[in-house]
Amino acid sequence: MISKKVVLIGDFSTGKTSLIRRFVDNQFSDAYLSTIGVKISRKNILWEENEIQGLIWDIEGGTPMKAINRSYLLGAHGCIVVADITRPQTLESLQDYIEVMQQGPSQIPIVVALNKCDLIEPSHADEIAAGVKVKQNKIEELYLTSAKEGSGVEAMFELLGRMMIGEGE
Amino acid sequence: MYLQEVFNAIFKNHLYEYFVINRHFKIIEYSDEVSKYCEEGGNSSDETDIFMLLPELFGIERELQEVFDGLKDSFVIPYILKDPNYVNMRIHPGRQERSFSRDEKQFETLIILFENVTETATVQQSLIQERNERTLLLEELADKNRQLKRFNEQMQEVVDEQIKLNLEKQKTVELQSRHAQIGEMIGMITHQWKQPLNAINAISTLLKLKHQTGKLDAELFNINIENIFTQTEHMNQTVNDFQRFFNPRKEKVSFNLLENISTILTLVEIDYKLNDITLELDGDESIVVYGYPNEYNQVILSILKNAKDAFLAAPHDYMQITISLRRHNDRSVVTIKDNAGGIPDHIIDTIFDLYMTTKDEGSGLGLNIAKSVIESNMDGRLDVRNIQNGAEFSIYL
Repeated sequence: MISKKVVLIGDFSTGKTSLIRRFVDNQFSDAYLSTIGVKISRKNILWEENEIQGLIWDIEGGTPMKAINRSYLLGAHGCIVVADITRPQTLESLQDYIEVMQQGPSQIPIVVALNKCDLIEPSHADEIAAGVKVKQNKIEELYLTSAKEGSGVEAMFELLGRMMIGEGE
Repeated sequence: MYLQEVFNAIFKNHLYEYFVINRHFKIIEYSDEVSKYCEEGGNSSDETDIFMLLPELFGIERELQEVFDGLKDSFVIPYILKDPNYVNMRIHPGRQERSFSRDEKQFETLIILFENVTETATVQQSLIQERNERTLLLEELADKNRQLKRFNEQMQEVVDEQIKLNLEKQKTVELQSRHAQIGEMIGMITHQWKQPLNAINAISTLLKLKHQTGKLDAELFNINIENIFTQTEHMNQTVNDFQRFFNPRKEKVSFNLLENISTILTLVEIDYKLNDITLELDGDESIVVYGYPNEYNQVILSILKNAKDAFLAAPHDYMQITISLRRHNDRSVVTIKDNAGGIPDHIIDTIFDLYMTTKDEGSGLGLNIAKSVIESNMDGRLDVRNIQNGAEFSIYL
């Protein structure tokens, strides 16, 4: 069985743990519990008759005072950079996280998730997404997600999966 | 074998659970209960690939290799096993390769030790949680402050725009009011000019008749020509007074109050006489004040006009306006009294407010401007009160 390591990074309280929980267990909790260190979840995906083991790394969120632990990123095959669409500061940090990933030894697919979209009007979310794309020109793929409602989560992981095995656009 | 025994003596007492792996990352030894530190309770057994049980090692093969090669010291990987169990996984070099010297360290095995750090990590997690929640609150507060600032700026723009509109509106109304004043003054001049024009017309007719009948001698001619000069001089004076009145001075000057007010009365008295309104002026003729004489005149005119309008709305047999001048505590006081019935009690406190008027065609500007001219431009005071059968305005300067 092939294993693929996916890391989720981003500022604290952007919903990384919730996105993973939604994807792996299809569950959601409103309670906020800060992650420290790393928590690894597994989800096996059947891909064209091949079973792939997804190892999804939920990494402690970064803060202006504390950067993420780069050793957690080693050997990753894909990355999801998560921002909270309601918090401009987390959108501003996207570029930094993308650059950290791009400084690694190999170029891996990176997808951006603008999470918590359920908290704002869809048209406003689209405007913010467009603004982020213009401002952060290194973003290849961007998803509007809501771990609470589940929107965009499955599609985002699926796209990242395709990109990791070389079928992405 | 001795080392192995020591090793077992230490770790098999369950101080730490452990794996021992070889250079192929295969498990070659493990403690009894080490499986509790593996995700989903993976079953450990000899020759199992360590990555199958510990995905936390995935991707750090190179780091592990560096420990095998003696290039890297031991290191720690903190991870969450199952909430809220926090574990520190320590990677240590194990048995040294026999073929290498002491200076060139190579290791046959690595020891992976597990330490349950839930107690300390929970405290750490609480601190981080508290810090993050505080940061979120601060962010929210900053966001609210930004919104408030933006709202205030927007409100300020609205207020500024409204002030601008009001100023423009006030200017327009002032202009209209001024035009109305000019129209009124032209009416007064017309009245003033009618008498000399009639006189000139009569003199001209007389001179023509005398000339036609051959009775125009030099003396009669000179007397009448002189009379025409007098009449035209009077008309010219009227126009000069009018011009002076409507050309406000830009600098403050000292001026005699009685003379100044007399000029206005000269201009308006015919109009008032025609409406059976008596104007009286008395008081100290030596009072000199410092200010803008023409603006002061317009204040007097505005008050007189209000009295006149009140009389026209409710005329009676003896309509009188009395203007008195006096000194009081080093200040000049001019009172303008009328017997036009007074100002209704419910509006007297707002009579100077902008756009306050009781007249159908009033602008509500005259008395507001009057108060502003006296109090803002000349540091004086303009008051009003009701007296018996009328109103009394007092100008302190």
